[in-house]
Amino acid sequence: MSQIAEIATGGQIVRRAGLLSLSRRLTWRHGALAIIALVVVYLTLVPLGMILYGTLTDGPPGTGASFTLQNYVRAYGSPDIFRAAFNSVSFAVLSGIISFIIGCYLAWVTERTNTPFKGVIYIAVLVPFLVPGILTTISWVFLLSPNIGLINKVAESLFGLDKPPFNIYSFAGMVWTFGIDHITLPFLLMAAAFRSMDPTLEEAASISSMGPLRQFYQINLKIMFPSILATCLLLFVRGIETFEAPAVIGIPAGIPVFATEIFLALRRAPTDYNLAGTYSTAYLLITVIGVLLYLRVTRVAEKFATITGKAYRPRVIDLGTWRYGVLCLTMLVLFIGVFLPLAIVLWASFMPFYAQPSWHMLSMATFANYVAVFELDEFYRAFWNNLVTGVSAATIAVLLSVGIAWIVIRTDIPGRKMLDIIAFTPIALPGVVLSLALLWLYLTVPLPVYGTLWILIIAFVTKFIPISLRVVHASMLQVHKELEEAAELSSSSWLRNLFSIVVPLILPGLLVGWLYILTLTFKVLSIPILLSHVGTEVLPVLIFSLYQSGGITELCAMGVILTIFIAVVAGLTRLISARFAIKAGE
Amino acid sequence: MTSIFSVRLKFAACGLALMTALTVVSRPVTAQAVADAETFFASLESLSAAQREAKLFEGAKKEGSVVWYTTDGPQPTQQILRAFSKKYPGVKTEFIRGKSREIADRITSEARANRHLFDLAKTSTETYDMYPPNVFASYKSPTKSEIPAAMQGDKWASVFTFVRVMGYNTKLVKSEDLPKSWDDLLDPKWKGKILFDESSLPEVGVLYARWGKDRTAAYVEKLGASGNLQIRTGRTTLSQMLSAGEAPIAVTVYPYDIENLRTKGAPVDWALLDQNPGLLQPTSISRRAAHPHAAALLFDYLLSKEGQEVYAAMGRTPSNPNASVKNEREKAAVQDPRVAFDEMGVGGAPLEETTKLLDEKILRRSFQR
Repeated sequence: MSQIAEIATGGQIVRRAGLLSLSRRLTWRHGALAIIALVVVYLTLVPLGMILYGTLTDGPPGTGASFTLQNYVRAYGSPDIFRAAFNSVSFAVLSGIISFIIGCYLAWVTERTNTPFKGVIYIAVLVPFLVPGILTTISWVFLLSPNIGLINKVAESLFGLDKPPFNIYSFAGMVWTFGIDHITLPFLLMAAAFRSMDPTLEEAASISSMGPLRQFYQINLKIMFPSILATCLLLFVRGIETFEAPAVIGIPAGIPVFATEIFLALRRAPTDYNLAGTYSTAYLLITVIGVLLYLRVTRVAEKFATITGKAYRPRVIDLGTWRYGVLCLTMLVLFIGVFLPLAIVLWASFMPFYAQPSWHMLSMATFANYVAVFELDEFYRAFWNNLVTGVSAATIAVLLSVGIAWIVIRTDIPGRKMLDIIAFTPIALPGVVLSLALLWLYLTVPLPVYGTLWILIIAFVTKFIPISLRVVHASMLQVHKELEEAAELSSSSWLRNLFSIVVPLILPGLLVGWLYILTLTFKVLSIPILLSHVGTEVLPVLIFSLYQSGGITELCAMGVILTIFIAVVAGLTRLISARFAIKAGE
Repeated sequence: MTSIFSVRLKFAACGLALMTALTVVSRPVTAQAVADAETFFASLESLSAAQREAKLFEGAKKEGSVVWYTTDGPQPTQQILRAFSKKYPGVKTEFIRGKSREIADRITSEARANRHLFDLAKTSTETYDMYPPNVFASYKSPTKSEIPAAMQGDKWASVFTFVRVMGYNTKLVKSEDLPKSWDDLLDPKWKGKILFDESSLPEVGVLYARWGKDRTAAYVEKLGASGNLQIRTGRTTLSQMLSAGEAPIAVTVYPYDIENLRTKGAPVDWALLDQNPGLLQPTSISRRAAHPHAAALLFDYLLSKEGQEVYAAMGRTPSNPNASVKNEREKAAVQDPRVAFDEMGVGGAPLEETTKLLDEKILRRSFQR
């Protein structure tokens, strides 16, 4: 870090010299960037083009289909779809608010306060990250169902109620289940943002006797705006495309969302690819609008740059005795949001079949579910494959995102915004549509990709680049360009600058993006179910098959195993990110 | 300035590459001559059963492996394949699993691209008709002829059978109070008390086949309007929810699931309604199988008394009448006149009409409450 501080002392001269060297290196740098851009454009535009083309034809590619607008009539011709879309938007917004508020609060507690047991909090928040979504959703049914919900039963007997106080089969139930299950993403993103906050700004605010609320609004909120916006955008998109809560809770509650409509329209075999693609145009539209808004708001990059040549470390607020109050509140949130559903999963994992906890059932406890999981040859292979594809995809996606974010923020190459939009669109493509497009592409193109882990890596990178891109973009906005310009002056190469200055500074953000993508590869089913082949299966396929063939209790055992795994990974990540966090003077 | 132009050029080149890729992809795939497994299978017909098995095993060992696309769960697949490998060492078994729709998507896409990667496929009655006509091979074998005629066709045989029945929670409803027929399900006393899977197309199909169009339409309308159904998605979750006490009745579930839960001590049982769908599990060999010896060997094994008893030990109802059965009740159900196999699936009730009835009268109705 001291090297940066040293370099940055150049001031004004640096800036001018930086521009000079910028023009000198323009050509080869553009070459490197063009390669990154080409890769990303290839990965996203080819399937996107295939899908959009498919929306206008009446058969799969290669069958000599003719042009038609019928798909659009079928997809958007009934008022049901608009009602479902409205439900989707309100569901995504409300559950996003829950996730964001809780995640942000927990991030503030662990990053900016001296509340004890931060490590415990950190690991607890990461747990929902790897537990299969279908499992958390079902565990909330076991907690809040009006007929068998544990919380309802306890509340009824405690308070002598004659009616269950909660009903999971409602809009609120859906919002809560999804919202509480997604606190990890905002937690990690906001934690990274808090970590990169320049405390001198807060101090200045305190000196000018700004009240704490006003200070929060004027300083923290404004500076963290890109991160907040990126988080909200990702949460929103995740909310409108998710299917677990709408399927397990929404369908019984009689509340269809957009994803439900797609599911219902497409559940007949073989998949109506053209209709599926047509539905995804609505997602495309929404995400393009979202990313345009995001880019517009964050277009003046310097406004958000807090990581400058000055040495600093984020200030920790001493809460005094209040910290025990904060600790209690935090523990309460984690108890309800993380511990309770996990406890149900843990309970069920030792049961021969699911039943409400009781002494009688406890006497039936068994390790049979764990034995069943460990006896499956597929489990080990799927786990290993998952790790390999997940780590590769996450790494590639993050590296490509660094390139794109740099192009978008640091250059004035025409079409850079278009590049950002193009790279962000795959998030809008439902997994089944994207994987069908890729399936056909690599079945036809004479590349040895189909049937290997590569097709999974390609699909995961394509689908998840948007996530790392938003995370990296938001982090990079906080790095002032004077640091790079200073380094340019010392005539080290651009690539070296990027990796010795920018990347280390945004490492907390990169790690978040990397970890999130890795965990998503453990959770997302729609892509591997079509693209994994003999010997290349990954965990979600196995998880879903178990779910389908009635092994909920075995699934719970697997959930517990995965939870232990993620807790270990989380512990390691925390160690690493603590090691690389900006701690000047250490 | 030049560099900016070069970037634009690259974008243009990129667009061009994209268009080329699109043309390549949308070019109709022409069929390519690949050895036809049917000819090979026909050549086997003159052999005795023992000669045939020896020849297939010998050839399978040379081929080294067999690839199976299946709709079955992880444990049953592992168990049957382990048993196969024990009997025929040296033939590596490989498989992928998926729902019948995904298997259909995969096989049709691969066939269209002229990539012949699977040897054997277990599909479903609902999807069987959607496969391209030349994907599966006509196949005859001594073991296949042990299977009843109703459970096989020229290109398929059912490896076991499923019946879908009414499940109930024995703590919440007494067996004498149970509904006996679909009409009984309309009784207002079951308001909100019947778990119903949204994918119950075969149920509507069997009513349609037995009752005809008008009666079925009128009935489904009444069922949807009754408010008795709690719609769920995921049939095996339905059984779990039933055993946990979410509702007294579930229509319909697999007796296999219920028996599994019951033997573990869960308070569940099952009974037949007046009409129950029976589901065959059609399994076929690829006409362009890369491992035809191994494919035939596995196919014959699955249908043999030995293989069928492995399925029976898992509680499945085997198709081969020579195999001894663990699940006597389900076997009895398979032969019960209240269960319909023949009207279903392969050439059964018009899918489009039954789908429309299920979606509009039951699902959509539940969304409008």
